[in-house]
Amino acid sequence: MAKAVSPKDFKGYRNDKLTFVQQDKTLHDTKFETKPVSYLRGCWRRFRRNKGSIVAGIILLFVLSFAIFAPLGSDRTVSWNDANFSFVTPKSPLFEGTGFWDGTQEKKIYQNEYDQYRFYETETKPVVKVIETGMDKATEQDPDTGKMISVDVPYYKIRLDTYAIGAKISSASVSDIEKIQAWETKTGRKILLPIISTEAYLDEYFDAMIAAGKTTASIAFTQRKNLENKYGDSNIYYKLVLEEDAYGKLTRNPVIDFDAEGNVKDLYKRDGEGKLVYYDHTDADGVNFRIRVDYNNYYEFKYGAKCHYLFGSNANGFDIFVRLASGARLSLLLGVGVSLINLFIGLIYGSISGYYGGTVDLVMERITDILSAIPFVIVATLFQLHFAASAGPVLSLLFAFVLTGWIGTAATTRMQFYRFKDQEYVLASRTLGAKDLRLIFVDILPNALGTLITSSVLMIPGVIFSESSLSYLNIIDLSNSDITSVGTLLNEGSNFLSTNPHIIMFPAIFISILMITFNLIGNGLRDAFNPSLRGEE
Amino acid sequence: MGKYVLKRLGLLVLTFLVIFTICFFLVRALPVPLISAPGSDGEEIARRFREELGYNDPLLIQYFRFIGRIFTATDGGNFGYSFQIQYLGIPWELMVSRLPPTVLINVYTMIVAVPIGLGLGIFMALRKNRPEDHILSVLIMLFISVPSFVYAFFVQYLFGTVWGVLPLTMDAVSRYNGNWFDPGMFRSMLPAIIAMSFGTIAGFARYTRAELTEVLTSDFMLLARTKGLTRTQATLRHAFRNSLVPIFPMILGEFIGILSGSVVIESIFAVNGVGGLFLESINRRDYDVFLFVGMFYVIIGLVGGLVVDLSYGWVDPRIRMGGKK
Repeated sequence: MAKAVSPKDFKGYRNDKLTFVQQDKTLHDTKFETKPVSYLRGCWRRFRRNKGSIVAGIILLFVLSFAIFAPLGSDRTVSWNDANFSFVTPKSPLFEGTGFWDGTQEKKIYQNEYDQYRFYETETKPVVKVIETGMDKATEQDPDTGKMISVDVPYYKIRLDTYAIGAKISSASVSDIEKIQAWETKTGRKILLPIISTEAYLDEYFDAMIAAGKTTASIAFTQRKNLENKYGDSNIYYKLVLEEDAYGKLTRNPVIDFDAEGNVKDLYKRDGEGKLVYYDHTDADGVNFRIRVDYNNYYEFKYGAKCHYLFGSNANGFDIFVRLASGARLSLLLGVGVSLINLFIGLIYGSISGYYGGTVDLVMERITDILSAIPFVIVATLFQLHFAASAGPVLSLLFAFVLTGWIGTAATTRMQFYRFKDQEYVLASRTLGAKDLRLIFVDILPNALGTLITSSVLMIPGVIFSESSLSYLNIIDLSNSDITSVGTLLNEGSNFLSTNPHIIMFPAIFISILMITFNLIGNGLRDAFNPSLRGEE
Repeated sequence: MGKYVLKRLGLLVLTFLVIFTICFFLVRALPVPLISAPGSDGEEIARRFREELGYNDPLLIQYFRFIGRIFTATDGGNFGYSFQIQYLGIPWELMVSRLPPTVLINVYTMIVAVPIGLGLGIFMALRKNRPEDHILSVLIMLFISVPSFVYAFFVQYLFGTVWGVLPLTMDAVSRYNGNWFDPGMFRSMLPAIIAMSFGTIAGFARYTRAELTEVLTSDFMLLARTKGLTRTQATLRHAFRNSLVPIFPMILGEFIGILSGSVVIESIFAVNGVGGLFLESINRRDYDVFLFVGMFYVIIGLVGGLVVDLSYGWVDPRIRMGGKK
């Protein structure tokens, strides 16, 4: 037996100094000094503690503002394009000249291409920097022995400015040309370049070659076509000749005809007095003139600023940044819209089915059984085939999502009703005279709130994924409308995956970020609403 | 049990019939595309042929005739004909010829993904709340969220373009004399297999981890340890086997789903499979093929669901099917 402890056992304490705490007092329940925490407030507090969800939420805010504000900040629209700037790489004016995000690209080229780049007349030169030069091995026929021998071919590894597209042929009226000239004198920079005339030179060249026995008239025809094709590039304003093979015959390879000092021999059109011609008539009516322009400067003249595409451009010179923002808007609108509509339908359907039970439930369950057994791709396809022409592809897709999407929500709601409808508090409420509607919406449904919100948020990434897959597969055809989808952008990019990966990169990164953030937020919500499920996936 | 299975089978058939009827009417109500240029002989022949086959009759008559032909047709057109993909081709044969690549790619994926996924899940459950578990959990979260086609592009770009070790798209089987199991064939399937594995591995790992952590904390595990089993013994003999109860049906379900294939993955890697056939039938408006492959998908889904449900009772004898009456 342990010895009973009395105050006498403690040293330094005197019995008469001690008083009872509650002497002569009646004991009452005291009021809580802490503030009561409501259910939603508690959820918010738990959600806030989840770092992953908060980070995801902030990223999602960025994505949202990108989708909303990006199209506003740009004059370009989804259907705007400049075919001359096709396949340009991402460029931001802030990063000019850094080698990163400045519209340049590393490329390995050989002598011929290097020479062509060297002689651009335009202000913006294609070769920003030569990173490395060296020799590659190639085989060639030896002119003396006729055997194949190995020769060294110089190569250049360069940083290429994809925006330097050089000269382009365009047409302009007299007043346009006057405006251009005014711009030129104001800024001191050049837009108009001399017109080239190649006909006379080609005639002369092939006549001389045939006369010298280096080619025959019939072969010269195709060889001339080859050179003419080459002159289709308006950056070539100088004399080209065809390479000679080991036996002194002309091949089909055009090379630049250098003079003794290593300069090119220009083919500018000159008028009677020997002056350069900057514009000439192309059509019979004489209204429009043909001009040859430094296209980068011409663009600056037309739009008031240097051309840059933040996310690069695709094969037809469409702005990926603007199109991605439009796709993002579609994805988010569709995701949120579908999820809200499905929440609404599923809630009502599940409530009725779960609350009434019995035959009603049985019939309603069979209907959902049937609907849920139809693969979504079939529903989406049939809706597209039937309604895309009349209601538009996006609306048809929305219908397809709504047709089967609410089943999950309905099942959740129904389950909650089965769990709660036989509990005492519901019985009490019924006894007090509550009607069905009150029992459903006031007494039972709020219990399912957390689960329903969570599943609605988690539905959004699913919708976005399905939408982008379907538009990637071209089942949803958006080509005739003003909107675009991330899936369409992915489809455009997939054709140029190996040559121009930037086209597909941004949509792919974007959709991944979107899916990850929504899933993280959904998981955070689930943990917040239902702490007992934390950690279970 | 037998009665329950019969009941479920009956429901399955009924569900399928309803879906088939709805889809049939929706498909047949679509305008029929022209096969050749209007006014040409080919167009006239196709038109007459369609007339002959009754494609212009009222839908209800077409419906009953279609059902009748399923049992009576002798020329192979039991399920209609393909007009666009292969003129007067038989949907059944078209689909069977497209099955091997789809099945092979999916089976390879499962062979790769299931062991890795289960292994990762077990590892994470055993190391629950340690740094390695947290890192893997985050990674798996990311891998599950990223859509499969993004992996596909990534794999294609990295392996096909940057490193150049694997082909961009799948080779045709004719290149290997029709041998599906040729090493070269396998090599050209690898990109698709890798791309599909990411998501599957992550999914299995997450599921296994969740199930196993739940089992590991249950009372019988404490008992097993108390009676002297080592941690490994207890985990393998008691925890893992119990956690397999929900995991096994999931694997089974995935295996049945194999037959339908992934339309997007097949499209990206140019796999000439069932998914590709389905897409082709949509894009070329070959409605009989569309209906046939679509109904195949429906059956796969229904049977898969049934088998998964029934397998619960088989894996875990404690689960009684249909209840006692």
